[in-house]
Amino acid sequence: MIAFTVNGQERAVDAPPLTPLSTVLRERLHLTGTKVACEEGFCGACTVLVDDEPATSCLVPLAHVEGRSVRTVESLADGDGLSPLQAAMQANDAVQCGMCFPGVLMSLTALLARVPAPGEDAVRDALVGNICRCTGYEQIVEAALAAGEEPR
Amino acid sequence: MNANVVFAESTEDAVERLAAAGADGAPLAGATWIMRAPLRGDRHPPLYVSLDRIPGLREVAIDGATIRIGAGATHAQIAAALAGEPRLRGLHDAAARSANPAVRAHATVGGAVATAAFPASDLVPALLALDATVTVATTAGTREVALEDLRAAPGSLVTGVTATVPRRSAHARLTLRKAGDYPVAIASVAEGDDGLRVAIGSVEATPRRWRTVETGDPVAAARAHAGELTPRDGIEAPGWYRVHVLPTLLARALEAMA
Repeated sequence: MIAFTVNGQERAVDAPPLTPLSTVLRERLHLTGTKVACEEGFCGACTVLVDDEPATSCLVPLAHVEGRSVRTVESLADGDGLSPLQAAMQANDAVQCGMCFPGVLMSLTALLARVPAPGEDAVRDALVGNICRCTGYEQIVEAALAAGEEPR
Repeated sequence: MNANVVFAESTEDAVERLAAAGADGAPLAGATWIMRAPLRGDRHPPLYVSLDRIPGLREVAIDGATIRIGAGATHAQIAAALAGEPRLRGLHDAAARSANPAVRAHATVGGAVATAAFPASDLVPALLALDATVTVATTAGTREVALEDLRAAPGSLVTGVTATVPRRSAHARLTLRKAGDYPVAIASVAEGDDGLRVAIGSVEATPRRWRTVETGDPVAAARAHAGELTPRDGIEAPGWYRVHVLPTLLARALEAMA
């Protein structure tokens, strides 16, 4: 059994140590908000936070999260209350097909935790590893800038 | 996916476990290459010795004229540590622009130099241009090996990389899009006391120094001696294209260094 924290809860999973964290989250813990697309660390759909840092969970072996803290997109909203970032996405019509979106939110959540009011360059840099096939980056960037301006 | 993973407590512990496992074991660092083994059709060995919990393996230190990087330092850590060191701009840019932020936060320099099968590494040509030395530990002790001569062998562990800080350096890479792509070609240059050093990556199966173009007019030499190269075809570009863009990339690197 490999024990770690997911969204504030202690979890333990019995799976081979090289099982991708993304597989553990989706298929063992049923946290299907984390999406899997390329499975090679290229697209960013599976981005979660490991000890508050963005990680492509398809490339993180289960063994390497033992004792660590993992946050997924499911942790952002508090019941029906969206996080300021999520609310800004909704207000800016940024949500499109939704495949890239959980990863986008986690990359930006980490950025906003580190830089509360980032500029456009910082937002675009943070999203380099999140590929949106709808190419709808403009509203996402606008929303992230708006979220950065909200009092937190 | 059924390989076992054990955690080494120290480099000595890791080396002992790797020596005991022989060809059945391999080190596991940032995992970004090893986790994709199934996609490449590569088989995992029965045992990985994870370096994830070894303290002190991640230090990046510039001590006078020498830079030392612990094997566990990630691309992100190297980029952060070198941000204020213009002489090492080549290595900085290689670390800061490789792959994407999440991969840079995990992929290590030890993994980059030990993964001979990866043609498109950014750190390796940047370190070749610095004429870097690799520290390799075995149960018999540690030895220093020129990066050019490094051959990862069972039972051995890369523990660090050392280089003399150059006068100046630069790193040019061509990606067809920007985000996350493997570069089609890389030219990394540095000027040391011994003159200009040029290394290329992503063109052939393995990054290498290209000494032919280090004297005279490097760009003209790169055009004249393209036939020396054995380019690789790949999903991003055919081999001829990688060679075709190389003189221009080399010119960009030299211009960035000037």
